[in-house]
Amino acid sequence: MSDSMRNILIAFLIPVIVFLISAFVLDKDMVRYPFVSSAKGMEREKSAVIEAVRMYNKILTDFYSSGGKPALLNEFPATKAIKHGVFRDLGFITTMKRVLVYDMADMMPVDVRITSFNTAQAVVFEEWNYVYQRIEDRMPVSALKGLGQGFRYWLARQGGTWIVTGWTPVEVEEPEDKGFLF
Amino acid sequence: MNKSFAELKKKSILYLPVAAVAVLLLLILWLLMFVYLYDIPLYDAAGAASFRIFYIVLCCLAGFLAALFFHERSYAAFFVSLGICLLLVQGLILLGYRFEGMAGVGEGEEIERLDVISKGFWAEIPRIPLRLISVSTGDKGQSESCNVVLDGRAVEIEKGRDLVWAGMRIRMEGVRIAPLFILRNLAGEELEAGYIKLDWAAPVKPFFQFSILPHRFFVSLPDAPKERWMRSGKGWRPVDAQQDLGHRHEGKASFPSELERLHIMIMRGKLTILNKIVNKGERVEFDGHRLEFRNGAPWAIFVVKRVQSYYVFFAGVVLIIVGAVVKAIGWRKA
Repeated sequence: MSDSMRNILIAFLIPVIVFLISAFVLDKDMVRYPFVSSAKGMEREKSAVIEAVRMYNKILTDFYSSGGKPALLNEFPATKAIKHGVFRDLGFITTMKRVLVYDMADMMPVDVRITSFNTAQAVVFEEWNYVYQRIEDRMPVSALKGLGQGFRYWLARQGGTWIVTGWTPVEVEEPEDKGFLF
Repeated sequence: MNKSFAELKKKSILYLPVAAVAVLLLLILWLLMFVYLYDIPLYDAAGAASFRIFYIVLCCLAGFLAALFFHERSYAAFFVSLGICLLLVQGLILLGYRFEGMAGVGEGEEIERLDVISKGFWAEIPRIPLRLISVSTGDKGQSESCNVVLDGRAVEIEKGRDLVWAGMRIRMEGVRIAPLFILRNLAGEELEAGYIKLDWAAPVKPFFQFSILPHRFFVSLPDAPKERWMRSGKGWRPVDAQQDLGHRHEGKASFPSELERLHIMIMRGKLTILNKIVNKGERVEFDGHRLEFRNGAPWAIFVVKRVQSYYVFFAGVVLIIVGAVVKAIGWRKA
């Protein structure tokens, strides 16, 4: 290969290499999307979305059961607006001198969609048990009750992880009666 | 010194176009791959940080090459390079300064702030001096329209028709009714009240909150389609076609002229506190409070989009043609 041909090849390859490096560093989520779009990748991503929703509900349970202790606030996979909403509710319950203890009995994924390289939606059916307790001595002041509700969650990828950006209630046919769930 | 500068100039003219072609091919491949293969919106694909950086690098390369060719007195190449640079700059302007936003405005109100639908990386949210004077709800077979004062000038806007002002296209998308919601305590004292602008046609059930309560109030028309899922074998399926949540539910149900009944669902956290159809004036109790709704006030949805100009694009095309003509004249003379 002559010198000039080699130099032309170098002049061509340098921008390509620099572009690829910058794309992997600056646009990680978009660059990984073609790999995620395979059937196996999509399943893995959907599992990650469901896991984010599970973590969201798990930490939510902790916030309510502790009466609003923010120990896991940084791990809570939600936007600032949602976090504010949760703590507004906790503040409301505290003004009633109560603690609301939630326990998630079951969560069933209904429909999970990766809508783009950094957004997803998940419809889930959640079954919860809950009881109100007195704030002073944690004695129950209500009967233990159960609820079943469908939710649609919107999620976005931030910093490589899925976080909840919004939710709305949806109607989901209740699965077969499994009896009272602890 | 002169010799090394001449050598550098010669190498730049030889190798910089190669680098520019490499960058151009990369950018085109990037767009083709993400937009056509993976259905990512064009603006998201072109908005990627690495894409933007290398696009600007390409503009600079084209401009630098134009300067080099001018210095070398290769005027045909100069005009073509400068023309290509201008075409790229036009692309940057389209990407960077695009803007689309919307606002809900009640009678007597001004557009205070636009909600961004999409925005380029350099675009700022514009201020639109528009005040809504009156609204026609299209009850008697007429189309929905409104009278506004825009920048001191009285204008009538019909639904779906565009109005252009200061490089912005303003369109009135529709008229809605904002019911008056009143929150009281159990003693009947009014705590908070307000006209709530709810877009019944939005694909997702709208909700609002009072400033003093954490509750979410999901409000919809009684006959509005709802998202429902049913078991189907081992999986699930949506019940209604309207559940393609990307679509708006336009039609008669999206705009009743009188609001007699509303479906209200009140949620606090995971708990459904209330879920029923409520009549106008009926007071419903929840968590130590009472809620009622009354006759609403009309409001209009405005969508504002920046009108992009293409002068830089046309200037680029003219320069490329000039470059081609200069080259042809040069060939003829040779």
